[in-house]
Amino acid sequence: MTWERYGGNDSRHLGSAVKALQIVHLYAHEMNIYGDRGNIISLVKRLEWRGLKAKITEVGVGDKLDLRTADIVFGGGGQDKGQAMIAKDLRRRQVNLRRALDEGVVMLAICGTYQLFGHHFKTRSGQVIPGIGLFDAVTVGSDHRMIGNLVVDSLWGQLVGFENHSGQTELTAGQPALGQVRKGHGNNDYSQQEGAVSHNAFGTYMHGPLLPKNPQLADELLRRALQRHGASAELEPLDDQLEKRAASIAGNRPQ
Amino acid sequence: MYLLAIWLGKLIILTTRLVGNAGSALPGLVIEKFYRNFISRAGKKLQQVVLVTGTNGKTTTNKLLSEIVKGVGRPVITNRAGGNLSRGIASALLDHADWWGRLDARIGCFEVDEAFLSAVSAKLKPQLILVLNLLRDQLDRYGELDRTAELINQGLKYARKIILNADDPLVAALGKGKASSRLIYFGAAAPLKTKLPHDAELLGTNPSYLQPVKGPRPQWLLTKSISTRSGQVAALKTASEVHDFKLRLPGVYNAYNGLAALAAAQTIGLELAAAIDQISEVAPAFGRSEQIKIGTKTVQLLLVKNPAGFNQIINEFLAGSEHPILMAINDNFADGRDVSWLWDVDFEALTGRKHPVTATGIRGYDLAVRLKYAEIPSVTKRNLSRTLRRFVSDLKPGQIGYIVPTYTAMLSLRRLLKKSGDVGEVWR
Repeated sequence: MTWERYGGNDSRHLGSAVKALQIVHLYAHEMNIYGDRGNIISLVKRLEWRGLKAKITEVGVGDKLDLRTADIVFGGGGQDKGQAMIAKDLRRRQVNLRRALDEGVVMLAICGTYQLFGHHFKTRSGQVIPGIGLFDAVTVGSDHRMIGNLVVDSLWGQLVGFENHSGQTELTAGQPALGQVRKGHGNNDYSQQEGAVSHNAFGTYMHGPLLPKNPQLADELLRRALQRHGASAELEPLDDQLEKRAASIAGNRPQ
Repeated sequence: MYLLAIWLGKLIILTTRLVGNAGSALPGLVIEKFYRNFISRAGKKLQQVVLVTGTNGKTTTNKLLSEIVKGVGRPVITNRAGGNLSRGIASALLDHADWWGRLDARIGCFEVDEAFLSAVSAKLKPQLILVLNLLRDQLDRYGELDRTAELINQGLKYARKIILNADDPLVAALGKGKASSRLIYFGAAAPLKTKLPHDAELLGTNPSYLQPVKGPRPQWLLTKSISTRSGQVAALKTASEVHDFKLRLPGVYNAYNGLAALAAAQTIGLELAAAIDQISEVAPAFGRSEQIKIGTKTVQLLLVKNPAGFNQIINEFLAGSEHPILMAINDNFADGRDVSWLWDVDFEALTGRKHPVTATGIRGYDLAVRLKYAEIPSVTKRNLSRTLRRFVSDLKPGQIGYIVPTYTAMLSLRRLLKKSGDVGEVWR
């Protein structure tokens, strides 16, 4: 299958409403493991191929962040040390992030960031790291390392990724999950549920990274972000055959 | 008990040779199950043991060191590529033992997988441990770099001396709290350092939690590394001297490996000048920039295991050229089952390339997606054998085709190439 440059120039009607989508990458350097920056690449390219622009702002510990202009907020996975480093800083931004969530800012939180988007994370040694409670969920450290290919059925079709975590996340009744687990563990080793969705915020344990092989979800995030600008919800379809093929093969790999 | 283990092991070796599976680590695996202390017992017969560990460069550096030692006339026991777990070392010791359990060498140089360093080190009580680097690698195997550093640190206490990479903060930090008389650092002079980012610099800048570390001053400093047709010319500086040296391997990353091997050689008592003579003769280890001729065509195997290694390969061989490239990505256990790491590789450095990259391997389509988003043209194929045949036949006479595989893809490709071309025995 030969790659061809995709993307049309008929998205000009969208282009006039939106100069550039503002993407905030939280803790790009502290939480920089597992290739999760591929999610940013997926969003940026899928916008570009439709004639739209994106502007990425990296926000680290102590950096200023004006969420009023943010369209998409992204935070990736990291090592335990990275997570400990960002927790306090994230808490300082809790009120603003809460307001942003309520106003419909699109968010994607992966693994260690996902855990901190819940109420708290209780480590194996009993230490409680407070989170920002955007998801009604609590994570507890365990001895069970859940590693392997992860396939999930969601409202946006089948999602394929890779999980690697020993934290067990429990959703409070009423907190919607991202989807049902087909293969793998997901949030924990008993509920067969993976991730969480609150308004336009998505949390998940899926690496892979998540968006490149699940372009329908990438487009869902983009659509929601563009809609907040009053732009039409129609995104010109791209040829995602390559992504679908990759997802199909990945989904059939042993857990 | 020790003798019984030796006989059992030798019987297994004979059997595996008959079955045509020579060189596997099966004998070692069985021996260790039979007699847990085999390695300690056999190891006691060695006067010098050197262990080489780190994410990238173990096989190459261990090969460089072992061939230096052999080259100056000292018999050495070393483990084959791929045999860097405890059983691989047991197999190697067995190979060099006679039926009375006597070893035919007094020096052992072993590459050891990071997670096993502690166990092996406790058994062998090495004179020297060499830690090359700590880079994000098969994350689904070890989970986290910090933990890997911890695992390595536990093994260091058994070593008389330790050689550490001063330019890799995670490795340099392993020197904390240890007597300076035990520590030897190697590193590169400023302009060379930037060509080999450590993990923290991998994505462009330093994470805030790594304090700007003023690395320890290296006693062995790399001052020059210039690639040539046949490898490179390099130079090093110690406290008192400057020495030129040559390698049959290209790239700054191999210059570091060479420097580390020379430092190790001198530390175990070899003469530096003699070591430098020997190191210039050492051919690349299998799959690591190894060139293989098939008739009038040549392919070069460039093994990749992680983002740092892949970026080095891209920089050194692939960027800015239109050489045919075949990339084969598998996700078996030894390759790393999580292929997310492909998105930490800077494929964008291939921008401008017109000739499509051939993407193959079990996760060839994942690679194709990555290349699509990097806007690098590619073609995806599934059948490895047919794809390789086509790739080689499409090469023009005298042209080099670059093959960039992950570990198990490399094994498969090498096997296929062996059938059709001129490929040496797996390096002993």
